[in-house]
Amino acid sequence: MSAATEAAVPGQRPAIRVRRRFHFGLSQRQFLVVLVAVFILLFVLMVLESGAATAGNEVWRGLVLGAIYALIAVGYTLVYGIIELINFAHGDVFTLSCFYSIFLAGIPGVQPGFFQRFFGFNLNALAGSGPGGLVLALLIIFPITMTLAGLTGVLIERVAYRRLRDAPRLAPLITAVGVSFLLEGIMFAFFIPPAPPGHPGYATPGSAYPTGEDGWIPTTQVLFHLGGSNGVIIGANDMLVVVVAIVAMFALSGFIRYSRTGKAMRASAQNRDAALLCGININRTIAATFFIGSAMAAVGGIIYSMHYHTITWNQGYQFGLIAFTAAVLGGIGNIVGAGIGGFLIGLIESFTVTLLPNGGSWALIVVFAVLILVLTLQPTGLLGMRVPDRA
Amino acid sequence: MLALAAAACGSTSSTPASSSSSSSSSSSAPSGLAACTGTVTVATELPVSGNDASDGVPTQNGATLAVDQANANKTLGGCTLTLINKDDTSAQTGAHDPTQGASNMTALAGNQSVVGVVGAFNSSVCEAEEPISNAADLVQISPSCTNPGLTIPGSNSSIDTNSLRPSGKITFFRVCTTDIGQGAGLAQVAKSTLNATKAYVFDDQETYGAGLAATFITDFTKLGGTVVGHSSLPSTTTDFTSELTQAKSDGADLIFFGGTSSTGGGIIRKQMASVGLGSLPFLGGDGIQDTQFFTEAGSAGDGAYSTIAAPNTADLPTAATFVSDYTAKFNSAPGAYSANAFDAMNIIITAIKQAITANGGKIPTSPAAFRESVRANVAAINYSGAIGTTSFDSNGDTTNKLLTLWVGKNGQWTYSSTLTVQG
Repeated sequence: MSAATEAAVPGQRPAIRVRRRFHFGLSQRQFLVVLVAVFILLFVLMVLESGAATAGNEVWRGLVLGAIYALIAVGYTLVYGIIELINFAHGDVFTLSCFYSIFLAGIPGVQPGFFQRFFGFNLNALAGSGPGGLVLALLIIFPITMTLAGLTGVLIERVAYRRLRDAPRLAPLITAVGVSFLLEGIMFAFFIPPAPPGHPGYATPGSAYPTGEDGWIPTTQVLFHLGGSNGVIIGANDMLVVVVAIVAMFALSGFIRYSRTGKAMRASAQNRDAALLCGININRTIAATFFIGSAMAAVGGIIYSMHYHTITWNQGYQFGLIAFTAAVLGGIGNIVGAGIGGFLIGLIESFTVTLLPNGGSWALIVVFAVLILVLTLQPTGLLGMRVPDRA
Repeated sequence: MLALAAAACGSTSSTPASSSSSSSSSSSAPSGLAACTGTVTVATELPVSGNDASDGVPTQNGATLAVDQANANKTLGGCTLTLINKDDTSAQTGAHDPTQGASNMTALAGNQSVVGVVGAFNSSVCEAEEPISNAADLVQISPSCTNPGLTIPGSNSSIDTNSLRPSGKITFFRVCTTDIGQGAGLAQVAKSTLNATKAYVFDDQETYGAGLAATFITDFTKLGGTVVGHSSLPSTTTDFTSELTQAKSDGADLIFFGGTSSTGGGIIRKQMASVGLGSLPFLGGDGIQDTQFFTEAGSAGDGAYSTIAAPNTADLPTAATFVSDYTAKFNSAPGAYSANAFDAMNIIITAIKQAITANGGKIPTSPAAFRESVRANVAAINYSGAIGTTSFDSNGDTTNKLLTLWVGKNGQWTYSSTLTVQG
């Protein structure tokens, strides 16, 4: 890309868009405008077809689903931006982080959590004790899970990718696939869900793991209705997912833009050798990138556990694939693009359900059809393929 | 390997008790089986790990119990039964996998000592296995594969039943009612018991789930109900809220799911609450009738309904001994299809006994002849067991058609009523 023309000056806000023309003579900005217009048109169609309440609910469902895709997509995009590796193990780091959060919190009445086992302090009970307790529990579980996931990411990079940094592209790609299968195998074989009460002998490898975090914010708890009691249901749990995702994305953006490490990441992404000459520790910077990407996946993992209540050892495969699609759709290497791509895919899925007859069956088909369409018209994705020097 | 060698030779003694000369006592033994020597191998082919474990393990336990009892009671006289348990859960899917099932069945068919298989659990797996066991003339009895196309030609447009039987013989049998019966029963429940008129239907795109959804839709429409929407979603889907929102907007008063707990049953039930459909009834087939459903649905599982193509063993006089034996051995209540598997295995054992008796009390020396003899005996069987009296019609379907309705209560499936089935 045209990185040279837009070299970021440290401490200065870099330019956001590369104006790039393609066959139809639309610039990147115009392309986005067309896209937004299409979405608005589809929304109007939805309102006409199913009423405003349903249309609103579907948009909200799409945002909730998209929030988790977006958080995972960021990890793909960060790593790609800095070492141009598609880290296929990232989806499994997401699954692992779900497990970390369960092991910390425990499952009420079935399996004590880490704190309860070693310090006699029940995180689930704290979360259920009221708003203050909930906030405190969240403040405990988020940093610890994110750190654990981050260290996992760093370990994977150290073991499977670092030595291959200057090897042909295919080599780290294959080790990435290998790490993915390795992690899935470990989760299948060792993270065996406890038997349900009264059914000994049902604890078998690979079955779905209940998270027991239902008590934190019940999915049935409605925060408010948008537009009357029959309007859009804004659940407390849904709201948590969306708010946490947006806050995390902004925090990440700020971190990449303003922190020393963030600047080092941007510099390494632009030109690794030059960064090295400037005294940037490349190994540490790349490790930091993996740490941050994995920690973002952990944010997704925690809210996934709280939202869906069931973890399966291989869920990272499908989530990873869709999140990777989101990253490509937004422009791989581009953090804002990954976020927008994630929300976009969530919205496409929910729009399809409403607009097409028996649309649920078509959701993934439409998602990937849109991907093909966007990439053939705009091969660099919606916001342009960028390295994270322009977060 | 030991079992293979023993059964192939037929006269190799493997137990000290039967080591006395076999040729002289074979004619004089009262039962005709005391002189039988060697081992006979039977197998199960079920999903016993991964997401289907809560279906597969209790089913496998039922078959294991039958084999253990037969060995303890010396049902085959001096011969003993060896059991091979195969698992059709694959690491790729984490749940039942037709590819894995086909590979297991190829191994079993290739093992000359195996004369009968109980399995598979899921229709998609049965569909993949049936041609393989058929080509090897190996009798296969499924405790739970309910898709009609597996046995009845022309009943399912996406399955060519005759192509599942390359040898032209009937080698695949089942002791459960087909989905023609189950679909009709579920439609009846939806209309009469739950007073539903507008159903929103989900299925998991699999042989069983999509087939059950299709028969339900046909029968529900026939009874005057309307299907307001139908979503076929991949079995790995974890978010159903968009579809449920659509169902709500369409005014659905029932959510129907054709699929299993491992393909989304409990998750849909749980997510109904988050879009404001928590009070609607949720109805499914036998695929959600397991503990996994409640692991995923939690307290929302209460008020869900499901049928199984099996009797309520707790209520059935013929099953009382089975239930107490099972509970004593496995320290847990039988699963939905444990009794079916127990009877299926006992039918195979009975057929083996008849085959050995007909051969003068010895294991037939030709494995092919032994398999054929067992197969013919199964086809003609009239067996009184835990689930009642089973015999098979010309398609291999049981004449003992059973369907029971169960409702979720306090995190368990609780028996509600027995339905009458025509199909």
